Amino acid sequence: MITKDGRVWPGPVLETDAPAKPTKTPTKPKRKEDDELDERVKRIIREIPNPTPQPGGE
Amino acid sequence: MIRPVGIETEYGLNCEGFQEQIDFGYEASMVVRAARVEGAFRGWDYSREDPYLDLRGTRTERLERDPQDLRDSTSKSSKMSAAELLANTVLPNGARYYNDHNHPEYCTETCTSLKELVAQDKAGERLLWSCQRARNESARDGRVLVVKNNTDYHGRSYGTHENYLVPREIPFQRLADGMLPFLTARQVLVGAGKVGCEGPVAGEAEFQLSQRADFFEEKVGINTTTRRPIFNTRDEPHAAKADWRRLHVIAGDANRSEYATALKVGMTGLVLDALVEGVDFDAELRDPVRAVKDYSRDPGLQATAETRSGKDLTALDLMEGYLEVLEGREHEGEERAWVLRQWRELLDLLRSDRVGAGDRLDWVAKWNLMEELSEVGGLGEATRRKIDLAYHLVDPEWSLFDSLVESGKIRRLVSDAAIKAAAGDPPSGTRGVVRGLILRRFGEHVTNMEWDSVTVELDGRRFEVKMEEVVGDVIARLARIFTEAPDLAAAIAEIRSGGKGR
Repeated sequence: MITKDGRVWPGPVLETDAPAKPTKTPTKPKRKEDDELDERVKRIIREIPNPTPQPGGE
Repeated sequence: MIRPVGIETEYGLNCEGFQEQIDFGYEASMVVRAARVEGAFRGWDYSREDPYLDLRGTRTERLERDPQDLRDSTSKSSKMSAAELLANTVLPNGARYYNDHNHPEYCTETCTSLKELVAQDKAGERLLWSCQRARNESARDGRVLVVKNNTDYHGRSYGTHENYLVPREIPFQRLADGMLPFLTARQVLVGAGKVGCEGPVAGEAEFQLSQRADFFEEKVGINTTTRRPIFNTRDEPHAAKADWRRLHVIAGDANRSEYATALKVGMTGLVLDALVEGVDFDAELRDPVRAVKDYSRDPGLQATAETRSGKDLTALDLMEGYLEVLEGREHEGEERAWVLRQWRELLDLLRSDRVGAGDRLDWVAKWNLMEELSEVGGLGEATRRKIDLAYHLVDPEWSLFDSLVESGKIRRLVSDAAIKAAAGDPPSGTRGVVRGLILRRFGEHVTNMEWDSVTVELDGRRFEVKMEEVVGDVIARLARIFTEAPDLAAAIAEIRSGGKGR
């Protein structure tokens, strides 16, 4: 992916050097916990509000 | 035992469904006052606090505020007394909980163990969750979600500060020169991650390492709410002034990961240990204010910053340089050794298998999650912001961080039992133990509290228990007295006999 300022994102370290993510490895089946997590994440994204403005602090 | 450190966290309030203009001062106060903690003391002694004192040996005439922030209160909070609005609360575990600048703030007692500090910090998260529930069950208007993060994604930031006790004898310039590059670069390990770009200095980024980097405008300074500096110079030790400085670190993120919290304060403590002993890290950057943003806005980790000696270094390079110096020194204690091992392992992972660091580092965990979700369908910016927000929610039902923990994707450092215990028990060996003992045994006599003193009243006379050391023999003696004395009069008499009260 190319960002608006022309950088490659994620960077080349990830794309060339990093091993494949476990989720992409065909020999490693998706766990039940992963499916549950997927469902939970979708529900949360669907149901929580967008970030709302707040005062600054400290 | 590590260098004494505490964490103060301002929590965000994500508000929805309000019929009227939201009064954040009122809402923050209501959230704090929703705490139902047995044995807590309501109040705080501000009489000796002076946030205008500067580490450089001066006293500023005024602290700047963002003028926008001053317009946020409405009639509800203006009708409250200062005590009602601030809602100062001292908890039996030694923590202070109150409304600071329209945000609920939880300040842990100073700790000398990383695990204890993490447990105290997590106890704060759980308290805030219970307060959110209580507020939403009782309030007539709107819903509030409490967020442990540092931005509203609309250009406003609130802080998570670390406070380290360092000897006053260390020269200011050595402290500032040694800490600035480190504070600029450490986000590569302990940033909490953020979607998008905001704040006073323009820029663009789809994803950043840090929640806070956008908001730093100066290298060194005393302000905290506007023109924020990377190295803050507030000089309130809350301990014996002649002996101690309190290094007030504002250039840090609110971490949800227990490992990240421990690593953040552990690494910083080790750098301070070395600076106290005269080590020179020789890493001064030409423009740290630019570097802190360049590093944050490049999750590819290729961004470089130029040092005074003309080298172009990535954030990983800088952190490697600090680590190499520290690895060449002797360190006392298992926790320091743990920090060095984690620091080394995670730096190596970030260079080779970044995904693997997501079981400990917040920004990587968040980034991994977004990558996985992107694979099953592109994510719009609004959805990515929601994911970012949800990662930091303290309600486990809605928190993506807690979802990742539950599914085994993020490691734990402390047990639920330790967190539950930390909600009631102060960190061991600290003055919080004395404060907790006084509250538990003689709470009805307490008239005032602050970090380094407790005032009690007996038979119409007031007596101040001074605690100008954070740990050590004086604190151990006071803890023994308040444990063993049959009553308050006997405790006061014994303290007087040793000349430690007044």
